[in-house]
Amino acid sequence: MRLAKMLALRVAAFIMARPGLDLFLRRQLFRFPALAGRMRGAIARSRHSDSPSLPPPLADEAELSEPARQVLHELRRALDRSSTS
Amino acid sequence: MRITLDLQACQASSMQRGIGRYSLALALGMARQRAGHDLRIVLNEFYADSVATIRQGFDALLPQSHISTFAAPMPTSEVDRRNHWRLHAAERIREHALASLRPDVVHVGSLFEGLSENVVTSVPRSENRFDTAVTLYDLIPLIRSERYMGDPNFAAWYHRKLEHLKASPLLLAISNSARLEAIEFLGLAPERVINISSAVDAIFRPLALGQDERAALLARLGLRRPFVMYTGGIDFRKNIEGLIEAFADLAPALRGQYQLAVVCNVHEADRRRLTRHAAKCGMAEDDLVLTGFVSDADLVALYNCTALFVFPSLHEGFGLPVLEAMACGAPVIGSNSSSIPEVIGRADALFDPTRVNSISASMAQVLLDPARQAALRTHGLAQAKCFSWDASARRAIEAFEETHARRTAAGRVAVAPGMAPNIARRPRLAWVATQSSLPPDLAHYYDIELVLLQDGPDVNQALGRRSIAWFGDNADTFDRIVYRFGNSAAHAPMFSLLERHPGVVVLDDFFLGNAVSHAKTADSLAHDFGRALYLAHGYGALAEEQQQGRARSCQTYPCNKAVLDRAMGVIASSPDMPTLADAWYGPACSADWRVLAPDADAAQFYDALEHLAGAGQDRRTLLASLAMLGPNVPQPDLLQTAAAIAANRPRTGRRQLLVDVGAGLDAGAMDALRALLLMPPAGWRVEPVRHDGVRYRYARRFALDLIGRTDLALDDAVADAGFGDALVAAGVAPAPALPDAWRARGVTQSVVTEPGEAP
Repeated sequence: MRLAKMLALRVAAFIMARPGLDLFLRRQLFRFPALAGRMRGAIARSRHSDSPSLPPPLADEAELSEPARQVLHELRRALDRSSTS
Repeated sequence: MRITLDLQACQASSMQRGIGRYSLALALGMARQRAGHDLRIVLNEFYADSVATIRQGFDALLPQSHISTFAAPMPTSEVDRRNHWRLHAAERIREHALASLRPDVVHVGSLFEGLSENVVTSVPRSENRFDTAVTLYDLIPLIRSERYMGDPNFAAWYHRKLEHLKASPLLLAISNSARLEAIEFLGLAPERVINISSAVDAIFRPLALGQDERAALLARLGLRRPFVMYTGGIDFRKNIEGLIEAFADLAPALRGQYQLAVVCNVHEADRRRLTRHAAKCGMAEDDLVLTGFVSDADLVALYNCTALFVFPSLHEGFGLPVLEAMACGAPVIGSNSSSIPEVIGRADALFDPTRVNSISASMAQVLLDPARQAALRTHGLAQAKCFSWDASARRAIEAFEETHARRTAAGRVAVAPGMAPNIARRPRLAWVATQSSLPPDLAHYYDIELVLLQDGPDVNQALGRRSIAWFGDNADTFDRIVYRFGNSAAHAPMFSLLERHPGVVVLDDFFLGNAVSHAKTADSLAHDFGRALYLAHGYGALAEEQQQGRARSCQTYPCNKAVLDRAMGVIASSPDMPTLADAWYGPACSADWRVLAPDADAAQFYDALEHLAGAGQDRRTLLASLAMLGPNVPQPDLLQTAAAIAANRPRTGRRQLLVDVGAGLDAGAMDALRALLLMPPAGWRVEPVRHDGVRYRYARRFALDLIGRTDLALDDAVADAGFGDALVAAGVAPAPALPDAWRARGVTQSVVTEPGEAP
């Protein structure tokens, strides 16, 4: 994994040191927005390794505080109303 | 006027960039210059570390309670399409959290955030109750779209943010150039865009560097000759390639006396590219020095040491390095484009950045002429004094005042107090009470349905009278719901109605214990008497009830906290009630209440009700707008959203002393904790908590055992904490870890040494 990452960084450095090639490859990538978005996201995440990690996902109502449970019930009612109207 | 600053610009990665530094310095200036205005700061709870740093920065300027955080479902970065629902939900939740702080103006330090991070920014619709001002740094991606809009993800994000920017009634431009660009490229009215300019930190000043100190610095950075300096980004518009070409274009004899120092963080790929470019231009290996990142102290020293500072940028919003260099007494020349001329303030120090020979000629003029160098140094120092953060902050606050005055004037014309609004449809009002005790003539203002909880003579024959069952089925169709609460058994059904269909509460009685004791135990709001007593008054009240009986407790304790928390607003029928609420539940508990005498007329009632319901209505509107975002929301997102909305509600009530009992207590600690539960320190509510491996939960069963109320059943629900609360280790337990969200909200860690002593 470390070797693959090192290789990827070297390839990226090689490309970025050649603005013409860099621009050409970017244009090809931008033809696929979803792929470009994933790549941008991955690069951003690797650069912001010091940013906080996401909290563990909530799976159950019991993991909510009492005020949050009240809001959840209201939110569900609002969603039900929205789907039936 | 209440001014709220959204300082997310000082969180995430922007914190390290010019935008973060600008936003922080301006906010500090506003805090110093706020005069009589009420200044608040709002931050993103997700970035807990930065919250702590920012709190520290404002320590001497603002009360810590004026710095709050908002929570939102995460992640929200726009670049990942899987975040779409959460992103839009988070924007609405943030707007709702801001509205709950009752600001007159919200200032967003940086709107263009959140592409690849969890920063949430937006400008609410114009009918919102506060104005949003946004700092405008530049429109470079729009103006040079051929260069910046290649990535469709970036382009979509940028254009969406531009729409928000255009919706803002006030833009605070960081230069006149940026202001003019906004007027030209966004078509905005000139009065909506104000130039507040920029400034530099006081650390940028002339220094008397010792010979050794100077030599050590230069040697460390590889500078062996006098040097020409540039600092800033590496982006193409900074035109570093043009600067290298211009340096290479200097006469060899002159060039040989100097090195070109590019002072900034440089990625390896950029380093290779610039080095290759310099070699291609015929420069020797040591002619170009790429220092990499330097500290602020080194940067100031370098400004003080340089023979010439050159800023060849093609386009800037302001050009902060230019002002930093001038403030340090460096001779400065720069581009004649965008904002740079207004910063430099001297025509003969400008060049055309698109022409290499123009840059090199300008450089040579200064390097060859010591008198010109001296003149530029003198001019720079004088020019730098024209910029200050306090002046920028004053201009920003004046602009807020003008914008707020315009809104207030417009509002006065729209609705005069006490006047029935001239609208096509009167709002529908459900009046839930035990008797038909309506203010006379209220029907002029509302289309009213009476929901009476007990039979009796009907004094309002003209109004419709509905059953509780009918109300339950139709509650969502009402614009306003009013519950007239009193302390009798007849009021008992009201608890469950208020729970399911929130509305404004009119308090005829402050003490509700008698009504609570008659409510069904299935009603989650009233619960049973013991639970209501605990929620409102804590474990000490439960112990007292056991000894003295329920009747006495009903007389002693109001038992109405759950009702007050659930209400969308409170109308008190006597001026004593707000005082009682603040005394029982903590200061400011009744801050937003209205007091109306029982004989208040319909106009007074209408004004009070619209004010309170308008504020409380926000949550209904928020939930409805979230529901509109789309069906089939994944369960984890729903849970996270509910948790965030609940966490963002302004806190009322006493501060919590959360005692971590997870590690077990020895006998002495048990005794101390029991004493604390029975007699909490003044102004505090004591709650034992226990970490379940993921989050803290209230250790209610443990606490009931400790005070001897094993006859009651309370669940160990997830604990909630906010600003002012404290988490302490009990007895021999090691200091517990503070959850990030709690740390961001301003929960502290303390140690209690003696029973009854506040931390």
